[in-house]
This record gives sequence, C-alpha cells and structure tokens, in this order.
Amino acid sequence: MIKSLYLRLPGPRPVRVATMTLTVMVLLVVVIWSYEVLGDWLDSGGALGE
Amino acid sequence: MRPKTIRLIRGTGWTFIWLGVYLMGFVAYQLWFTNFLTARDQSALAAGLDEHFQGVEVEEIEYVPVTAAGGPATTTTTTIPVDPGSEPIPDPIPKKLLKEAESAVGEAFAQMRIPAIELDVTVLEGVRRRDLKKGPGHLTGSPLPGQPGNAIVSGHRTTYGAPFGALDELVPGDQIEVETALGVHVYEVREAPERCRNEDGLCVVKPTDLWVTEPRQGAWLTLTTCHPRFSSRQRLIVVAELVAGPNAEVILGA
Repeated sequence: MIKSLYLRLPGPRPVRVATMTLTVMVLLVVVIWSYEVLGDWLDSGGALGE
Repeated sequence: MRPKTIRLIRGTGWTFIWLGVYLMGFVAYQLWFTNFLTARDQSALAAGLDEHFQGVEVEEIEYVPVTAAGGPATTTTTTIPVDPGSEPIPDPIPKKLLKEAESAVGEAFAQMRIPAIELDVTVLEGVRRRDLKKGPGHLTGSPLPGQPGNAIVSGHRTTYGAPFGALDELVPGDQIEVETALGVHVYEVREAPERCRNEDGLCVVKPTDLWVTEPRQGAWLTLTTCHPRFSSRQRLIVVAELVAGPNAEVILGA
C-alpha cells in the first residue's frame, strides 16, 4: 500500500522521496496528537477542576 | 464474485488491519512510551533538585497558632470559635515558622517517598497537563508541603509513569515523606473524609469537587489521581496529616 502510494507520486525520485518522507512525518504527528487526545480519556493527570 | 465486490472486501479488510495497527500503537504509546518519556523527565528533574534545595530562598515567618477550644492550630490571626458555646483560647506567643519561596511552574521542588507503595518520585510545581506528564504536580496557590493548610499534589494513575497508580492501596497510618528545601516532612495517611468515602473506604469524588482543596486546620497533604484506573471520570483522593518535620512542632503546637 505504501509502495503503491509512493509509485503514484509525481516527479523525479528525490522529489518523491521527499514528499513521502514529509507525508509520513505529518501522519506521525497527527497519529501522536490523536493518541494524546484519546489518552486524556484514560488518564488526564488527576488534577481537580477539569 | 464481481471485481467490485472483491475490491470492497479487500478495502474493508485493509481498513480493519490499519485500525488494528492504530489501536495497538495507541496501547503501546500510552502504556509503554509515555512511561519512557516520564522516566526521562524524572531523571532530569531529580538531577536539578539538589541545586534547587541549595538555591531556594528560605525565610522565617511569624506564625500565630490560634487555637479554638478543642481544635488544632490555624494560620489566621483572629480567633475562630469551633462552636458558639466554647471559649476561644487566647493567642499564644508567635512562633517561628520556616517558609521556602514557591518555585516557578514546571520546576522541581520536592521528592516524595511513599514506602508502602514503593514510590519515590520528584514533584514539580503546577498541575497543567504538560507538567503532570513529567511527574506529580503541586497545585499552585495551595500551601507547599510542610506548611500550614492543605497542600494539593496530583499525579497520573495509569499512564506517564503512573506515579499514583497504587494510591488506592494506601491505608490509614501509612507514611508519606516529602523532602523539600526545609527538610523531610512526614505525613500520615488518615481515613477518607466521610463526605466522599465509598464502601471500600476510598474517597472518590467528581473532578469538579473542589471542596477537597479547601484549607484545613493543621498541615495536610491531599493527593489526587484519576479513578477508576483507565478512566478520568472521577478522582481518587488520599488525605494525610503532618506528623513530623521541620515545621511540625510549630504547627501542631507540641
């Protein structure tokens, strides 16, 4: 799936590699952010008043 | 089967596979990776604690323990009768109380040890979410541990090192040591207040129940964490009273 995504990217190889790297990094940031938000439901830290 | 149906089945399969990967990643992140992050932050905080102890400003302030008949000392300068019929005891001679300057939010200022649950953790100032990810945090505005009143410390129950993961195992009489720039303040766990005590003897409140942070006579330490485990729906509260330490004699009026 990742390979087919990479192959579908336009431009020469270095551009495709850079685009793929950037996409993966953005995806990782989004995934970690979503983990943090969901994690607050599990354990928000125990402070009062929230 | 038609190619369209096959594509649909394949797409659904991949969706579930990626969903599974995402959820497994979530569990690994919360239960393992956050512990790693907190352990790293705790090492850094603990390393700077000795320097903080040496550099913090400590002053002697006048403490006027005003005792209402039958009640313990308070920090107020006016007399507070416990009940209208009782005679207030006259103000005793002011005593000297050691007081340290409050740390900046996010800065480590104390080491907390609870032998009963094998906890040894560095406490920092502040209870913002980013502070609590580094370790238990002291509610800014509440007295510091070792001072008269009600010092509030909050911590994670399940993730980020779960410093207060075993708070429900504490029983009355267990000791909590808090080392600050002044020395080691020893607290003893007391029975859960009747107002919030459940059938297991634990104090469980709503996150918005701020009455647990209200000032108390004497010197108290209130620990708060999420309850039940794996949920932030409620708060588990443990209250402990100062029994020994640099200020104990002055506050307790012994």
